[in-house]
Amino acid sequence: MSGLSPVSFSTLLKREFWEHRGAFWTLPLGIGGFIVFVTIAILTALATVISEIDGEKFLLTNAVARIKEIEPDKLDVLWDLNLLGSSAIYHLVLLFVLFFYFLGALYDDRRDRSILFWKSLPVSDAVTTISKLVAGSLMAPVFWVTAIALMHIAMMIVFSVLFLASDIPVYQYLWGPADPIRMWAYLLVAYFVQAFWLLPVWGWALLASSFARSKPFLWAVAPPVLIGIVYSWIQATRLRIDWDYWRIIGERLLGGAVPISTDFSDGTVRVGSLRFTDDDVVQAPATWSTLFERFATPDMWWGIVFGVVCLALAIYIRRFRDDS
Amino acid sequence: MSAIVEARGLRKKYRNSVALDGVDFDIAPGRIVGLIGPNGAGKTTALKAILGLTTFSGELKVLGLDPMKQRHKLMHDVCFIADVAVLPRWIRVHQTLDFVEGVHPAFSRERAMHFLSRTKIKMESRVKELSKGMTAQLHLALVMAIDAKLLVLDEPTLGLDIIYRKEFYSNLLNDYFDEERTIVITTHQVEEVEHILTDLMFIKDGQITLNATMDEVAERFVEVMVSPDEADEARALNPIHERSIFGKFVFLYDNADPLALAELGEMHNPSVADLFVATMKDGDDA
Repeated sequence: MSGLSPVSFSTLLKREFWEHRGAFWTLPLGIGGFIVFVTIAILTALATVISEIDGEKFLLTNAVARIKEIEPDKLDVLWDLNLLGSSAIYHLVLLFVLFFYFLGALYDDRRDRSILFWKSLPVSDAVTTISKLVAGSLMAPVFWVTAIALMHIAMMIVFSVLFLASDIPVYQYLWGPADPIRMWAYLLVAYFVQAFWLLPVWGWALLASSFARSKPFLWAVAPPVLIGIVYSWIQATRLRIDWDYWRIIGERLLGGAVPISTDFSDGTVRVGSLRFTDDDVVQAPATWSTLFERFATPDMWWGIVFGVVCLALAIYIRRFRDDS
Repeated sequence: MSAIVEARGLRKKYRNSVALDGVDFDIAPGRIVGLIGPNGAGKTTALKAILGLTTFSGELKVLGLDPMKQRHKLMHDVCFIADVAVLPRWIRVHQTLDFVEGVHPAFSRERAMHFLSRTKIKMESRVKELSKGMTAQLHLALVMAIDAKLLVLDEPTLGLDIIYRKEFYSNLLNDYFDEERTIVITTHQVEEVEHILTDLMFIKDGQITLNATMDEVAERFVEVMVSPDEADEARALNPIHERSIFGKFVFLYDNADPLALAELGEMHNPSVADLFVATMKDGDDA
């Protein structure tokens, strides 16, 4: 299939980037800028304006110096937490951004009729649709992780300045124990796994995008909600179904491999390699293979099957429906 | 030489109307065909079928391919401009060049740049910042830079002012068309394309009512201006249409005896627009 040549596929990805530059790149950069700005503003306020807290004398450098009280072998966990924690907001925003990206992917060009221009070029509808899936689920996260990395670097510089001002050895307490590069690699791999975990969601959104003559959001959201209402209604009667609908939906959207995902099986919240239980931080085995454990679950594969079916239907509708 | 487009019993039904009622036609290479018909007559449906944008029944081969099954393959050799407003509004001019260059092996960036250099279009502009006329120029520049065998234009100049319309067709004729290429045009502004057409196809209520070369049209159809006192004599020769102008009658004949007509008055070739009106009216009376 000529439409699958690497040159034209990369052109299709570029096309998505041109159209969605704001969502793919400017937005995560902006979030990073905001986080760094707020951090600097708070630190400046603590250093200059605030002189006492709860009647006690407060000095920022003294507060920072308390990092020396932390056991040296816990410092890497501290920085892992810091790096992961500051990236948490990105994961949530990206989930929304991608949902709306996919809802528009096969709809916007039908609405403005530019589909007739795209269809006048020798690219099949299947390749076009797959390029949009790849752009959203794999390419966008690469940009977002890059933006997260830039934010991490900026934050580490801010902390370095703070440590220098507080007479804390910067290498010993920050650059030595922190391992941002491993963290970024971890995020990239986690997003790769997440692309497969969320495939049913993205496939469903693409199907709504291809199918809807108007309001793709409603088409995407209403059916699962209606099914949920019927399910809950049946549950409310004595008739019990051994099938937890809302948990399946919730786990799909909020679970997966990216940081700050919820592991519904034991009720713990996971931040990357760290696992929070009620009272303590427990470090789970931080091997790379834990990220791929998802692929060993039937949930992952049922999701992939559902996603592929939705994708095939979306392509079929785009190919054969005459909109005029 | 084999036909570029071959349609046999081409049929398309919508829910409550028949857009194409089993039509047969061929389009030969190196022709410029005007597909003319009133709104809803089936022209756009015919073009969509040729471009693989709609399903149909019957047989249709375009460049030997089935347009519905092999659309993206067909698009290597077929270009189309659906109408002036379909370029995506967010895209920048240089991005349209990058994109078409990236996906179309027969696109020449140099040619496109050459056409664009004659316009006021800036590379950094977004399509939404261009006027309608400039958007049409851009689209035409992109399409003319593709070495295609068949170009399909569906109302390509709708909503453009007269200067852009004239320029559009003269660019097409001077810089693009040659005996290797075939162009199919639908338009309401018949008078602007009739001098560039080589073939004429009238379509009405899903049927082809006329399919002839312009030379054949010139031979077959004659208009005669007749004074009122000879009008009855003229009517006896079975004109297909009559109208009055400045107190005189103009009768339109299909395949009438030229000697008999010459005695009635001044003879000339009808314009495509007049011919169109006459043949469309003819059906209404019946």
